[in-house]
Amino acid sequence: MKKKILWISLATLTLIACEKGGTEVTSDKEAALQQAVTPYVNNTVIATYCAMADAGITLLDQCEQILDKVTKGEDYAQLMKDADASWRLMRKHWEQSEAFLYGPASAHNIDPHIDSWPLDFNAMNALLHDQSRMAQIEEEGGAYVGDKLGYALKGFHAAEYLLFESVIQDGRAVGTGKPHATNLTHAEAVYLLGIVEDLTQQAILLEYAWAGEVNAAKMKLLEEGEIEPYEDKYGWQMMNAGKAGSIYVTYQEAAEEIVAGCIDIAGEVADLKMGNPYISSTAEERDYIESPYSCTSTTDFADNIRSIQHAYCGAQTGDHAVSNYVYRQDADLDTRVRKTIDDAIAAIEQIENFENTAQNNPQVKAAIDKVSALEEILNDEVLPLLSK
Amino acid sequence: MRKEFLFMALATVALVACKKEPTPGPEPETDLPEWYYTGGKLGTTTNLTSMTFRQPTPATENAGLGTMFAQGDQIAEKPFVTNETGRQHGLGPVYVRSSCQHCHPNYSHGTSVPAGKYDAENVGNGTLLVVINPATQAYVPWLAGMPQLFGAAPFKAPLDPDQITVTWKTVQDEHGNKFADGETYELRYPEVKMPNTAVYVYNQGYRDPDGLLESQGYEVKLENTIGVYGSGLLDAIPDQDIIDQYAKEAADGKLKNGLNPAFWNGGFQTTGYYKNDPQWGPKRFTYALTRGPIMDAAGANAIWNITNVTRSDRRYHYLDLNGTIYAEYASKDPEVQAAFGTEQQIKDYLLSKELPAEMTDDEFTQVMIWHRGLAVPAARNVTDEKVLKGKELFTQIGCDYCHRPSWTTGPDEVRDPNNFKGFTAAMPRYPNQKIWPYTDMVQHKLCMENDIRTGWCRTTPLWGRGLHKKATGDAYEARMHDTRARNVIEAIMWHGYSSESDAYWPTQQFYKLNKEDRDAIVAFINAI
Repeated sequence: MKKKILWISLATLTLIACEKGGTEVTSDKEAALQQAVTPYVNNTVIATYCAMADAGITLLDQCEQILDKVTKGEDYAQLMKDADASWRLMRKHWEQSEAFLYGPASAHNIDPHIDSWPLDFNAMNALLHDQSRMAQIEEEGGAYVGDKLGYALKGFHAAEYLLFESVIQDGRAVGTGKPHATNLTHAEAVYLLGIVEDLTQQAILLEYAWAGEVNAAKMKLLEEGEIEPYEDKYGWQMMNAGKAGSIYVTYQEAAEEIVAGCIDIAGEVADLKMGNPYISSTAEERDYIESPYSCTSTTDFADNIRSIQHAYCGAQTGDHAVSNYVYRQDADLDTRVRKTIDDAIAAIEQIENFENTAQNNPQVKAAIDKVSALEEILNDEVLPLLSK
Repeated sequence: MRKEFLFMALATVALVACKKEPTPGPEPETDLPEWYYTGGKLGTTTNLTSMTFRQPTPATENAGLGTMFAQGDQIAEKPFVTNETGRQHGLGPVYVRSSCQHCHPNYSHGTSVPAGKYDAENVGNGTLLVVINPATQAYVPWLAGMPQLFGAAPFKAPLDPDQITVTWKTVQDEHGNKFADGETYELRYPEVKMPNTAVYVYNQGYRDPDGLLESQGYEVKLENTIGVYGSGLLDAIPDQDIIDQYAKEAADGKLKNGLNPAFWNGGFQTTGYYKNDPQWGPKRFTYALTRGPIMDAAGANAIWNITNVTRSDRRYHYLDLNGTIYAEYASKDPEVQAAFGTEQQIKDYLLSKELPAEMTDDEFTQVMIWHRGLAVPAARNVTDEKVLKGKELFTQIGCDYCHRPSWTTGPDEVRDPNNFKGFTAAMPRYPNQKIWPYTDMVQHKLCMENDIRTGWCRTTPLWGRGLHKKATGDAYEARMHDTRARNVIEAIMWHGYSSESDAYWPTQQFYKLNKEDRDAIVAFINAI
């Protein structure tokens, strides 16, 4: 199952400045990869994080209204449905960003901050019954959640648990994918609002760290939380490989990072996100399922592969991308990569009711094989081609 | 899932070269130097992206252990939780951190500690708080050697990190922190402030017989993690070769402080063997050289005592050094009693040696395959003239005496002092590999301001450390045992801060170099 690849990183050996009359043999390649990097930064990465933060702002507004309704004892069934839709939209953009978890998402721990699982139910229960800490959440909101709560008490999955219905089976919370009943306690609604405010602030931080700016509404949310944005200007660094202030010495290095990010998430989807539930044999293994309350697992997996698609092919029609460079070097390889991406998405979307049927499910096995094939072709063929 | 990028089997690679007169025909080729393969061909990854420290070794993949490596990686990455069942359950009752990743961001060493409140919640802060009796250099008995900073309700944290602060102080060396050509550097070191009120048992009425709490006479230091990668390769160095290194250094007589007598005193000491037993070989892991074979070394220990997640061979909790002080005072705490039970029930739980195993044997095996299977990044820029010049100077001025460049591994039989259900059979192995860790595996003294506990510190391997910023996003390189050095220059100059340092002479040779040569050494150290 595991593959051997040949990849020698010439980034370790080059670039060599040329004297007058010499040949800069890497310049065409660098120019081609530079063309690929700019739309990747702007139209794939920043656009995804921007949309994710936008969805977060909508969700935040809905959670504020839910708290208001809970406090007043009014009905909020429609609001809960709307909030669920916003959560799913925000989640979609996040999953479509998982081919670029390197950089700010990793360096500033935003990935574990917003996407850790399983939830710590014991700690959550203790928190919800701790009047002192709940009063602080009510007063400080996302700032308290962000600073004082562990990763297993915040982020997407804590919000998911409070936004979607779950029933108790064998002493464990099992999600149905339906909206949470309108029976949130005041403490739960306060906690939900704090989680979502922190989640949205983290999404804004991601956008800012790559773009170096965000709109006024987003900036205001950071200021309200007294949160200093990260001045990485990571997008600038990637688009300006070789310049002072960039961590990338060459565009080749930047392109290798892009593809390595794709390989990383493909491996995770195949071996862990789908692989662990597939080989699971006990009820405990249900904990491997990442979005168990919204039941969006297969949507998450497919969006992960779309993240690869956007990184490799470009997110918008006409975008230059790594694919263009690969096509110029080996058109057949590029065609095969694109087909492998499509096949992986199609196989994932064939899976029915993943949350309850993953174990030994042939549809899951077929999807694992397709995603593994994608990991393999990127790892064994695309990366070596870039590194030649 | 982290992927291995197996380097080219052929030992040559086309050089991208610039020529005054372009000539047709094949590109010139050059041999990759053997020091390119830092972990040998079975232990090196050529993935030099920000995920470099997360890659499996070729040996791991060759052995068909890739999936188990990925599963171990996931256990190490995800936070443990206080749930009583399910994945990652069992955190607490008290714990230092909730995941491996907290102290080893992207499996690098911990990131630079900022001034201000000690932020233990932040992934990246890999420092442990070392609380000692300055007179004896021993850990205080009322905390663990690695004090826990969190409690799982209803239990309270033995130390409250919110009350602990770090201040950075600066000092000047004999050169006024300035090279002859005017270039300056800064030497800073951390001071940690911890009031008694941060100590749970103090707040509950405990007073130690030495009076350290009453007089606030204890000292608090920082001790940073090192990267996890490459541990399996160091484990494979033959015992006798390490003992020979001690013998060589003893015979040379070059070290101002000699050798730690616990290891060498006219010959290799029994106390230098792990568990005082030659069958487990010389202690080779941790700054303090407290651990032997990796199967019972820092990682195997940490996955249990950092989280307090029990497993079948450790069905008890890691509490304080004394063993009973925390349990004594927690059991009398009315808030704990209200939530948990009687004083006796609390004591029985905390002090039990027969708790159920929270981590399964399979999970522990996966963790150790991951631990032993993490690759070392290949050296970078190995044909760069500046790097090559630095390599030459590194040896010329004597850095390589303690930062011994290479070792050759033995048959790598993989030993486990705990005999954990024969799981050594499953481990990736690295027989007969020439590896380049740049450490002599021996302790020395640098005699720095606010030095490491006892002053003795194993020479830290330099391999891969030049990629720390890229892998973690750290603003600094976070070198030395407490992250005091923000870059290579600061790290080198700390080596010669005191004339009593074992590394004083080579540091002065470095000081005398011109800027171009100093920069060459820095480039080399960042390339290895």
